[in-house]
Amino acid sequence: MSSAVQPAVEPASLEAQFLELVRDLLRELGSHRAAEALTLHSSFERDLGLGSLERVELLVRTEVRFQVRLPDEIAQQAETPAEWLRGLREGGQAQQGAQRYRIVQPARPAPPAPAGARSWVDVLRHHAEVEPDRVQIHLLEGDGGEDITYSQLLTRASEVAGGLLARGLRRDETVAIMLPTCSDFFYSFFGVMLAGGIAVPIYPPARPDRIEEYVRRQMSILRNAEVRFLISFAEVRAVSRIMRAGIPTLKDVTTAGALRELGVQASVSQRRGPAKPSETAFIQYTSGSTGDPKGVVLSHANVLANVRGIGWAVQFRSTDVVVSWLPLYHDMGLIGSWLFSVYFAAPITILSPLAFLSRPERWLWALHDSRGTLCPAPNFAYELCARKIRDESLQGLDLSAWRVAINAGEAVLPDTLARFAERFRPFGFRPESYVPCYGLAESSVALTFPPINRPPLIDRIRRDEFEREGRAVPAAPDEPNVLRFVANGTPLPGHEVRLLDEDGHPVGERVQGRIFFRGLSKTAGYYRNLPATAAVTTEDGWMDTGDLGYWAEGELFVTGRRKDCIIKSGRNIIPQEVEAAAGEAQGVRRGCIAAFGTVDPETGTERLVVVAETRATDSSERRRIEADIVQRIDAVLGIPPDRVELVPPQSIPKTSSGKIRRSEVRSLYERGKLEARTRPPWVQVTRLWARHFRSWVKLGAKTWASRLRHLGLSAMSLVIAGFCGVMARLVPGREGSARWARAGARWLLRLQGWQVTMRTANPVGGRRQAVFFANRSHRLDPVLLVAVLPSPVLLADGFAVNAAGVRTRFLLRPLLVRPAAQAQSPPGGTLRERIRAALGRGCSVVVTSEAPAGTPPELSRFRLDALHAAISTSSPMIPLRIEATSASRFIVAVGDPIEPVKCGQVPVTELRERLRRSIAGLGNGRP
Amino acid sequence: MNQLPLISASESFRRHEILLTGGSGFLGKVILGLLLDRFPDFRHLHFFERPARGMSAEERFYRETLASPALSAIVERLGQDRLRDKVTVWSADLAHANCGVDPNGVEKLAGRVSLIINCAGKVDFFPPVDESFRSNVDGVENVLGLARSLGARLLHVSTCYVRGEADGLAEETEPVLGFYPHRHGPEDHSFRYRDEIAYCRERIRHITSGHGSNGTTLPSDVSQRLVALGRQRARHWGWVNTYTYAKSLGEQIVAAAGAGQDGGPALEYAIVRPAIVESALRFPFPGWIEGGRTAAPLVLMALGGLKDWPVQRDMPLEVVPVDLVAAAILVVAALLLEGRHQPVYQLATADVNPLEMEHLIHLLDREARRRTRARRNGHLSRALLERLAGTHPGARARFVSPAQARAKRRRLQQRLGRIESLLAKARRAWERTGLPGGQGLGAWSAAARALSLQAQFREQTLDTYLPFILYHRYIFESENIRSAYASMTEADRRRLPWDPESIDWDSYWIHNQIEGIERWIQPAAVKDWTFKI
Repeated sequence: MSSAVQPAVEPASLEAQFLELVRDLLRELGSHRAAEALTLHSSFERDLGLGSLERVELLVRTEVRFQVRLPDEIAQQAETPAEWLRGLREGGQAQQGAQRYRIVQPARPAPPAPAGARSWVDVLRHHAEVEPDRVQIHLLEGDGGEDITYSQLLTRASEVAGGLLARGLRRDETVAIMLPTCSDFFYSFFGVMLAGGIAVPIYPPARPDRIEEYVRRQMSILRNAEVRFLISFAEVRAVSRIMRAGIPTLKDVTTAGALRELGVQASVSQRRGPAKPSETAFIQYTSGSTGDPKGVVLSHANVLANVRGIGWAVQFRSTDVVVSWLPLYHDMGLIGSWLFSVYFAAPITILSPLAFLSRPERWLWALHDSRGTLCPAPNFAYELCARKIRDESLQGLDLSAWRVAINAGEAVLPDTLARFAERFRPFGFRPESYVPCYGLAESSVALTFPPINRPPLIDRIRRDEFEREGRAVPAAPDEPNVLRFVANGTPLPGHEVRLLDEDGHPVGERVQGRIFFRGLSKTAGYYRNLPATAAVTTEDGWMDTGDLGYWAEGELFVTGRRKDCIIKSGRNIIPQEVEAAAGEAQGVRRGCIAAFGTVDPETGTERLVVVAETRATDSSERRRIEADIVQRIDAVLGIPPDRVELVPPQSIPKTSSGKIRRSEVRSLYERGKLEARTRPPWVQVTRLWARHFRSWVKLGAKTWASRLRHLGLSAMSLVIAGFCGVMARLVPGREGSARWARAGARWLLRLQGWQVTMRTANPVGGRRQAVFFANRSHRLDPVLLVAVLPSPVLLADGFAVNAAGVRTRFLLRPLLVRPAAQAQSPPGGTLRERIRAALGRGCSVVVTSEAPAGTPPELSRFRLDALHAAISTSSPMIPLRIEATSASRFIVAVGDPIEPVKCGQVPVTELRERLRRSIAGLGNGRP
Repeated sequence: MNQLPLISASESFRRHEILLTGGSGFLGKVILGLLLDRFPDFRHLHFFERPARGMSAEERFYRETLASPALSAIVERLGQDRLRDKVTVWSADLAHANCGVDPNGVEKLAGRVSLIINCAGKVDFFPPVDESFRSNVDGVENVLGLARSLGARLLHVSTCYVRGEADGLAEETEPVLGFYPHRHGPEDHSFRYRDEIAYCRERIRHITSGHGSNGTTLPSDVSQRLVALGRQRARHWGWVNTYTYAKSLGEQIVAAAGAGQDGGPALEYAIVRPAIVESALRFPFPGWIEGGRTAAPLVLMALGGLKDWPVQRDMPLEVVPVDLVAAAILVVAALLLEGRHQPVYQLATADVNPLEMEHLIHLLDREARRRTRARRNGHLSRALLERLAGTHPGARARFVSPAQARAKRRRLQQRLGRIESLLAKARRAWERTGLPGGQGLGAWSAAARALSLQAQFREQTLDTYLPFILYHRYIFESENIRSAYASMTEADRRRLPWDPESIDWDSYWIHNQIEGIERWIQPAAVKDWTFKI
């Protein structure tokens, strides 16, 4: 099957014919000058301006012309026609009938989803125990494939976890996974979780000629994520030293294979305790955002809630089969497809994005073969299938099982939906299968879903009112100048969406507003990026999506992204519209146009700038293109752009998923650096070396300095805890020891670099003794409370003190409520008697919650003994809420005291409920 | 609350007839004994006994249950005739509908019985899940059905350890329905006991299909799979073993019936949750114990020379003497008969009188060393081997991390394995020479073998114990039982004492626990301080 077949033409004429083919394509694309300059050694991308989609077109044409079947890589990796020809000569195979990988249907329906799972590790373990031999992933590679069962997934992931632990990965450290779609990705992803780390999936380099930009872009992400390990493929090890210099935390660049080997050898059986739902599962770096990398922190609970919500929205059936070609570093591929299928034990067929791009029909055939019922893809995938697939390769295709065709991830275009449905209706595709939905990485992946089994709802509205006033007025059927938007449905259960105007007031029906949301899947924030987090979150827990939309008939219509919106003379212009109009111009590279606004200080409004890539270099040709663009935009919008800038191909920066980075284009434009050119790889590597050489040298010095500093600090805190602990034992009276212990605790906090803020409505601690009830937030809570409470206090709970470590134990032991002097049974008296004795002597007592670690503050549990003691000595009970706002900042909120005298008739359990409610109420920023 | 009249248990028991299930168990016998001893004029007791070992229910009751050392003295005092008058023995099996009582019997019982005390339950930690279900889930459903058809109230005995991994303070006020250890709070409704039971039964049916019905024994691989299923379901929701998982399901069945959520009429019930039930403090006599599944292995390991304890020093061990539990159950029974009960009563000691592991281990260790010194008559081979293997009994107990303990045990196993193989080689060589005296070497290898078996036993026991003594620190709130006693008459408080705060743990462990275990459990094992598996 793999025998190379010589095309039935002479070598020389093969060259000529191929060049003619390329020339034809270039002419059709309107690039006459490039067609003339074409040689065997022109670069496809730089000289000819052929992007990945155009090269897919070229691949198809080559195959038809020479009756061969080419390897997929050729379309993305061949740099020049010469390389392409080499591929054609060596790897070209005789066209054969579509040999596809048969997928075995699962014999039994899926078992029930693990509704009680608290983490993704639980989910995987559950399925691996319930049905170890159930196939989870059908991974398609080329024309072959690989099946991965749950038990394989767990075993190999455990091996990776063992390897990571053997290499010294500690709990909650981050591990970046930079892998294309392959089985190692799955093992690594769960391996990191099993080892107690946090996975950071990032996108793998697609092209070797983009090292500099690629590494620079990844480095800022990796630095931001403070990664300890990078799991990648073997080639990346070559640049690992450069990376290590740029990323101080990075310990090693390694491969999943190496880790698994190590894991098997080391057989580290060190299994961590179960992950808590609030713990971070992984960090998803957003693709569409501009500026600094923003890592969306997603907890197990977030992602589980989202996946459960999607399952509800698509009415998951136990016979569903998922098919996906989406990249795994992207939220829709990772959560929306793969983790979704893992959770519901639905088999998933996965093919790589590259396989899809080079032959879109593969995706449809994968759906056919696996009888796929559920498949998410962005709009362009539907467009690509509708336009680029030859009829011959669709014979026998059956899409009738496909019941949920999710369209999300970018703007959903009504025309695309219509075109795709039209083309594939003969193959059993039903328009009711479309599920156009809206989501964002900040809400794990999905946020709103329309009802299923309904053709997409398309709203035609009048352009004028919408652009001037943001009102979506339905248009008359014959009205020419309309905008069309697709309904995105209603929020998932457990989520809320609201639309606000510029002043922060909710907008009415059919009025455009900014989309805010909150709910179970909402991220806690961006990893180590407080300013960015603060910029998009409100105090009452809402998150600003930065997108715009309006409500109509109970459904959300998303209209665009606010940060890209151009406001010119009071009129909102959506850049996509401008770009689409400019894209119609002859000689412009479609999809490689950026429209944005820059502030013009002279007129006080924004100037509309359009940057378009073109292959044309001839000045008269360029003038013609410029005029064409201006004319077309004017025709659509009624205003001409202020400036049109033509740039060579590859000048406009895009995100990993191909979206235009408009704000980056703007800043490049404003700095006059639009026309940057790529340099040869060796220059890039050298420049990188030069840039990071100094930091590389500094790295060693810095590590040693920090080690020494750490040593010094811990020695100092040891001395202080020792001294204050001894003094607390020596001085007479409990008041005195409490003062010494408090001094020690304050020093310890200072050395730790902790900042504690006290929030209180009325001053705490008059002369009267009280019982403080506090939640547990951290190991060192007792230290924190002793340090911040104004009057010296005693502690009720020996366990909390012991759990905090040796130093704390020594310092705070003298503060524990001590056994009463008189003989009692049990010896020393019960806790109630001890607290009562302390209160009777005029000391205040701190009682901490005895709920398991990780319990939210509002579910704190308190010993009834402490309440009884407070009641019998009529001491007020004061609720406290400790909250960590970052690793070293804490807020202690003090609630209103509950007077036991006032509620002497109330059962003690009711008093405890009041305390709990009060602590819960302290969380909402109220003093 | 204080205005209400005090409740007299003797009065209640004089007026109402009671039905007891599981009365031939360790706790059941003490309840029976207390009732006979302290309330001789109770009205009537119906006693459910399962026919077994070729005896009918009645034969078994008189020959086996009443013959137990716990009861024989009381029975002698009361006389068998009086008993036959007061106690009706029913042949019953909780695994069947109406507990296997025929319709005639049900008709006879209806309207007579006011209260069912359900003490029955299977207490193996990791049995095949269908067995555990049979007594702890199906059994509860059947008792419940019977209670409904008799119009009786239900006192259901469960366990504190239904808390599973939700450690820390266990509040009695926490709702029973919908509870699972990993629950996120009152808003989390992901656990529905009915769905869980249905799913588990479906899996059991799937696993056992084609292997005959309940009557025949299952092949070992099938029962292994059933054991694994129980373990997996329990761990999935956060229970530490199959026993507590099934027990919690049983509780939820009762609570749902109490709320009328299962379709039937609402039922008056109380759930009593004892902690680890251990030897008697006073009644029937100090140290009475039977079964010994819980703390006995701990004692035997300590006395058998375990020195490296993978426990946290300040974890309290929740042990409660059996007679206290039985007394409390009778008090709750009286409250339930008077309609003044709470839904849940936890019977534990650590909230007033905690016994920390450190204290207990040192106590047991001192006792072990005292006995070693007193003994001095062990086999020389054994003593030498213990030296070689590093487990000499003179050493002091240490507290180590689980990883350290595991590493130490592994090293010990390796060393013992090496010694054993050396001995075997030596023995073969010796036998080849044809000289006499090979038996001496045989004794040595037997001793080595015994040591390694002991090490294995410890390994297993510690693994079973880890959830209780290592990872989880429980404090079971026992407020309700204290307030229950406040509403009892003085005479009943003396008859049915509940006074965990006055237990002197040192004396209890030395004189009640250790002596009780030596006397009533595994006498052969105690003789040589080794524990046969």
